[in-house]
Amino acid sequence: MSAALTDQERIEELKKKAKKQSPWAIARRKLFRNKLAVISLVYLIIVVIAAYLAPLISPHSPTLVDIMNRNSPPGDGYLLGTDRSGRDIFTLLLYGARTSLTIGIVCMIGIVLLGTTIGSIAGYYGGWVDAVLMRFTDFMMNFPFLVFVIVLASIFREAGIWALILVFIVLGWTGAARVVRSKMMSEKENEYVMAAISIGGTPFKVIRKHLLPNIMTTIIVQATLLLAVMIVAETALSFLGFGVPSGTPSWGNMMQEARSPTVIRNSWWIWIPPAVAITSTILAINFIGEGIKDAFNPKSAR
Amino acid sequence: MLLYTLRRILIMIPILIMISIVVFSLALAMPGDALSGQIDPANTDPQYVEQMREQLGLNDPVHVQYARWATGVLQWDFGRSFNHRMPVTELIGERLPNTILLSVMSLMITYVLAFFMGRYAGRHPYTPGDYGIQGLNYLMLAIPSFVAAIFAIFIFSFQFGWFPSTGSVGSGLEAGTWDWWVSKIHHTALPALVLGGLTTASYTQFLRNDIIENAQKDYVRTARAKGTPEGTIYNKHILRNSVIPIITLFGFDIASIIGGAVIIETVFTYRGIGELLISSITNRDYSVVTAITLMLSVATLVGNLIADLIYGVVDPRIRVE
Repeated sequence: MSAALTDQERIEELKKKAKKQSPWAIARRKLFRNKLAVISLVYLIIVVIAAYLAPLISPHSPTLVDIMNRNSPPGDGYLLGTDRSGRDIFTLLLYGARTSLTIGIVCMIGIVLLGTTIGSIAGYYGGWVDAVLMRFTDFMMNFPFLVFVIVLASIFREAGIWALILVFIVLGWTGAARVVRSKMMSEKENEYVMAAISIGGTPFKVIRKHLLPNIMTTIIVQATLLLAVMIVAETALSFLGFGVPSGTPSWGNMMQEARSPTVIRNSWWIWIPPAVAITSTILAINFIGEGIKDAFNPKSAR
Repeated sequence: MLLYTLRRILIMIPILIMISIVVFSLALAMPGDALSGQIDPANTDPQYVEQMREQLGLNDPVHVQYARWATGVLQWDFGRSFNHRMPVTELIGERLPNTILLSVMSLMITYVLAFFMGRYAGRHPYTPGDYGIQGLNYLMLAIPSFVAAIFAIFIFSFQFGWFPSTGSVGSGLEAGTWDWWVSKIHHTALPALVLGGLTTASYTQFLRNDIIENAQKDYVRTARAKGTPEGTIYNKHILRNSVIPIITLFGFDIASIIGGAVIIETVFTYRGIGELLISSITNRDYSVVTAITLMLSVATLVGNLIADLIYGVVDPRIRVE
């Protein structure tokens, strides 16, 4: 009975309530109430699990070439048919997911780290540090992303996948840096930052312990968007023949078969699976990103 | 305004020089002779290559080479294309009109689609029609351009046979005639639809949100209180305010339009700058690659400048810094 509660108990009760109401808890609750985001999250988890368990799930080997069954439609021992050299489409789809997702995730992590570092330094210090870093960022933004990725990837084509990832990171960090910088600038005006500095916190500590946790939501939203952008960039580049080496299965390399009009016209089973896989994955990531943004927005009442 | 314009253009000059240095460094990193395009990439005889390098001055110090190349570029001389056996400028001049036609048509499609969809969704928010448009937007944002292009070819070229799937103009037509133009537009329509359609999403969303936001403002309440018909409020009062920001969007978008054009042109083997870039890289025709890379970077810079200037005309507040 509430009337029987002592003051002490009431305080405990309130404390519990307050604990439950942390921003992260509220956001999680809001996110899980967003049906579209939850469905997308479940779908994405299934895709990721399938991708990384590819050797266990896939019915064939990705390098197995069945000369007797080249370019054969779905069914007949091959769930989604075979491509023009006789490889199983379903197997390629699983292994391709692994390549495309790995590149997307590594690029995203790299870009978030680089962008956050540059953005934090520029936003925290302001003044000439900010001016120099932001002029540099603006300058990097002048280069059309895809054109430079293509040119650089073609120069370093022999260097393999890591060179490709490096190219994506070097050309892709600008947007993230700008977003982090502007958030950092408004956040550092708060009094808790001055308090942290006045008790002797070093800039590194103030940024890492006090400022970054408070702009984490922005960084997370930015990261989901970047993941989608990087997966698209990898597939587009591989589709054009400048991305992942052609022997490695990736969604973009699978789409590369559709460069030929006869494949588009007559062998839909070769290109529709990777096309649907790419689009649905990007859609799911975008919905999750939208959901997270919404969940952390105190104005949205969902 | 004049002062603002001049200042913006002056700021551009050092940026242009820095861009040219970056492109020049890339050209040096490219295999073969990416500056003048006169060494046969297929001939790997070291003596021949060394002799040509000496003759073309590719063994000179870097700054001498840069000065020579930059002087050439300023005089509109980008060297020669080894594969096409003609000056790069001439080659690009042949292809540029196609890319411009494609970009203009796709921009028109973007604006027309975004205008009608954004206006409808903004006036009737949270209705089934609005949700339909939003759903379409999500799909267009998610689908990569080359995937959309392949689906478009499959459906419109092969299933319905409405549009040609490759090329930029029919064969056997004389340039400049009526039939030639009709064929050209017919060939450009599908790639332009894909390129323009995909960029529609962000414009539509922008217009919709702006209309919804504006509808809450005091001047709209005043108009309503005066008894202005709802149609007039939306079409005259709100639309005039909301359309302005999306006019300037394309300038900031120009880098992604260029990237999109490279992919779309390649999928449709549409004979434009983007397709030329990809085929030149494949054929190791690096002098063309250097020239196109520089041109597209400058185009992005100019696009941003134009967007800023239009924005300055539209919104006088940002001119005062």
